[in-house]
Amino acid sequence: MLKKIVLPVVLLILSYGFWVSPDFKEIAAGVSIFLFGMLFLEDGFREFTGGVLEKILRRTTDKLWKSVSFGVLSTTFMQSSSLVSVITISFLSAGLIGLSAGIGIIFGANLGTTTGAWLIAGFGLKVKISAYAMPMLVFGLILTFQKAKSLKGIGYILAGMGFLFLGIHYMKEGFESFKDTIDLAQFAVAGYPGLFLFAGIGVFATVVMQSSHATLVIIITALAAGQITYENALALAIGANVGTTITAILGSLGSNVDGRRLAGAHLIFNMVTGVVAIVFIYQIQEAVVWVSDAVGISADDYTLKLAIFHTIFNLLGVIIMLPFVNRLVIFLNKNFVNKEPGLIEPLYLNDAAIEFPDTAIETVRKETLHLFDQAFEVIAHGIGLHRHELLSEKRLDEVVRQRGKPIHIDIDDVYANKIKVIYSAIVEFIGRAQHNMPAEYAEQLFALRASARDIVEAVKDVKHLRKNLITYVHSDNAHIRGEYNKIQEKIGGVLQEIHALSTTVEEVDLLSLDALRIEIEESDILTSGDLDRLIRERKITAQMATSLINDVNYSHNIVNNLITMGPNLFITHDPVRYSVERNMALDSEDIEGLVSSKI
Amino acid sequence: MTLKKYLKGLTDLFDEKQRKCKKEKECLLVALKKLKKRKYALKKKLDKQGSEKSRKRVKNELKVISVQRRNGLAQLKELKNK
Repeated sequence: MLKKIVLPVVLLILSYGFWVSPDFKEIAAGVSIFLFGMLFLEDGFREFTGGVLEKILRRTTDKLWKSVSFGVLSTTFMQSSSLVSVITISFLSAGLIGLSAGIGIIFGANLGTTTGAWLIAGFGLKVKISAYAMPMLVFGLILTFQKAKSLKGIGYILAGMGFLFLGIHYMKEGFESFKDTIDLAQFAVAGYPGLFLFAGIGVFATVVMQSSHATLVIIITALAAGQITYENALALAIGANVGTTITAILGSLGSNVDGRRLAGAHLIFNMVTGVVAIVFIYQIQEAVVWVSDAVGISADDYTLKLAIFHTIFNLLGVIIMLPFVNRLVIFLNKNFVNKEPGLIEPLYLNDAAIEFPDTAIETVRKETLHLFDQAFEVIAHGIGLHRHELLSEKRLDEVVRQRGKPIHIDIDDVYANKIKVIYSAIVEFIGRAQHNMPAEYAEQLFALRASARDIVEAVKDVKHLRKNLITYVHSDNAHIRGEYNKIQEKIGGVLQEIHALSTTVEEVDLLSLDALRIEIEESDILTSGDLDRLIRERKITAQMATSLINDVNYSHNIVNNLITMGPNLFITHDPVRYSVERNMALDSEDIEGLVSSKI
Repeated sequence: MTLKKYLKGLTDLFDEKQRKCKKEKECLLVALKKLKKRKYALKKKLDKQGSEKSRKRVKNELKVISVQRRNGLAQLKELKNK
């Protein structure tokens, strides 16, 4: 109800404002153009995702100081702490970085965002910024029409910067003209009441615009035009810093528990920084004066002094909070927990991870591994073996021959309540993620979907195989028992191999499983002549033989499905390398050729 | 000559197809080198195998590597012709 009312009210207020004041219209247009520029800038940097940014993020977050530096540099470069926050939440949700690394990036992003104030105060207001905006817009827009992704990205960034500059120009002009009609400075409130009031306004403005950067630009341009006092501008800047957490909180709504933990950390950090800034505002102001004198900023250059203030209080926040990162991680882990941990549901799939190709692929890969983990138990129990036995040091043939009572498992029930739940979620997630994804990444997602399907098919085949297997592995006929033990060994062996691949620390390539494929093809009882011999020598009955033929086929399908799904799950994240190795791997013709040559 | 080289570098930088092709070649060469290394290691292993079963297994792997290398070399030839 409230939502329905808010938008018309806002539009009405704005319309009235535009009608009574052309200057207000100019300022509002400036803010809109600025925000539009930020959208362009974000789109531009998104064109480069799936490349440099992710690589740097993966490599530079192993230590806290590196994470903080990454946050500072990336935000300085992209001029958008929101984009850095969204990327960080996405990477954290996909499990590509840890919570403490994510917190480090957020701390750094807060520090990096202060460079925006420096740029606007030091450059944006001192030169005729619109002169730079025009060529940037022209070149930028031409480049956005190019097919090449990199050129398109550069085009968006250029156009984004052009719009940012143009927005700043309009805000500056608007505030300067506004001064002649109405002096907002007369509404200034001194002391702590003013501090709290303007901090509140700063929070509100940032929540509405969802950009502390835009709020800061308005504050600086208004301050430059003398429309707000320096003290009130400081309070607004503090408020903008707290209000910016709303972006991270909104971004975390669709993410998993890790994303929510990071949003919590962001809120705590900015609240602590805000409280410290309010409590020690006079001491920080003295520090600003000292720094200004030291670097030669004149006493009446309040815009640059605001930039120094913004940097000092964010730096103070980082210095205060950094030693408590580990405690913060413990606190967040304790207070943000997964609901209903016992229930089988997708562990990794979440909306935040869908944002970037790399995180989407990694999330699906992890979820498919989760599916495999569930299927491993079903398949092992289905063929009468325990997971711990399969993963023990014991020889497989010993494990198979030493088994006791049959393991009870209702495969239909497990399939409906575990396997299908995760598989459906994977299929749904891929359906949404592949939309607007570059072809090479979409190909990887489809390969992972095929892997999930292979796992599900293997589980289904185990259900059919199990009917005869549990009977014949306990049969008095040693020959049929032996053949079914071979089936158990064959499937158990592949499960062991795949599990070894999933836990290896070494780099796995697509080509590792080809030898196993050949070995399994060669051991096929139907083509080796062993089955005919057993029938001929009347060691098994005709009924046993037909069951065996069917079950060998099922087992063949199970191992083939497991081997086929393996490479997609454990190999490289690099789509080019993946495609190259896939073309090198043995196809069915190669396998047939090698097996028929009786190597 | 240097200018021509830089111009070519600049063109390559913006030519996505060319860049992808170059990366494919690099990945292919790395994979082929790895297979060659694996082949030598298996050949050494083959000499040390006592039982016929384990010898057969290693021989099997060697054949697989040969086919994989053959596929890789065909791919490399195709890329060079592009």
